[in-house]
Amino acid sequence: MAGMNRPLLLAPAVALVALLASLAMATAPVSARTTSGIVYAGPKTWLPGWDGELGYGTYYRYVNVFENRSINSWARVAYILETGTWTCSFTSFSTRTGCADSDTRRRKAYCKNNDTQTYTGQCRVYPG
Amino acid sequence: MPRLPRLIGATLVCVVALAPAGGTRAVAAGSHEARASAVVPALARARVPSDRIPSRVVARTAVHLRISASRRIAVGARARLFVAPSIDGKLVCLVASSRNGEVATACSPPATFTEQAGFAVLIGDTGPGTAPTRVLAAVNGRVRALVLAFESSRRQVTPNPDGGVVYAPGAAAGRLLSISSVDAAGATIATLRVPSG
Repeated sequence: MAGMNRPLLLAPAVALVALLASLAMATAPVSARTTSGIVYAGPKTWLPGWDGELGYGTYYRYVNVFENRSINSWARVAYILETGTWTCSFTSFSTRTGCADSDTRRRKAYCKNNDTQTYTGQCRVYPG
Repeated sequence: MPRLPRLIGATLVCVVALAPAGGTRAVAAGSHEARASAVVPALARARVPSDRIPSRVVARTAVHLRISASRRIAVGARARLFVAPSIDGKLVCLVASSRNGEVATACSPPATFTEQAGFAVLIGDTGPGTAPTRVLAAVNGRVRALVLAFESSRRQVTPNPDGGVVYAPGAAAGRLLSISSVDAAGATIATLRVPSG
């Protein structure tokens, strides 16, 4: 009788584990996008004009984002080639500004508080 | 022999046990979308096939989007402009995909996405102090026009019914100094000074 009860107890547990595993797999890209990559500046308080950059590399299809800003504010993100040319250069008035592209050249990631306000936030690159 | 029905029964019990949590999330997401629809006209209309954000674009946005709720709000200047809420409903995002493969994103909470200035904007350029290559915006229902003040000229741009604005100024226009939103009576709602750096 005890031998018959074991499968009865195991079945819900196995099903629950399978369900939780499938839920975890479904949400994995969300958490990876939220935390993966390299935080290259911050989190910190950004005074007007402060900027940050990550050294030269190949950021092919990498998202460069100035995120988690504490207020709606101006910010710039860009990639800067070794020649000094700027690509994927965007400014927005928001709490998160990002850009990604398919450029294969060596360049550095750049972000800037180009507002007149002070705010908190961080700059990060991660594979898109 | 009775193991398979028992396993199915146990699985159903687990699904039922988890269902209320999912239902709560669905209600929460619904309220987020209702708030989102108030900030850009397109989010209040029925979705059409062209509203779908291509998967190669979705992969490069700066936040995980609820792609089932996206709207395409404008096409032009070699770019497509979308709005979509983030997957957790905490942000609304303006997404611009260009033919050259660039995907730019600007997100804010639904309550402030277009509330402060009447619009959300992404400005593409070739570095600090240069003339913009593109001005991409989403406006709320109050805004009838955006006035773009450049160093050497002024341009009034009318949003489409979805609230989308795509404008590619010529290089001769010079640097973009400010953007003002204007209501139906011609009154200025707000003006944002565009940073030079």
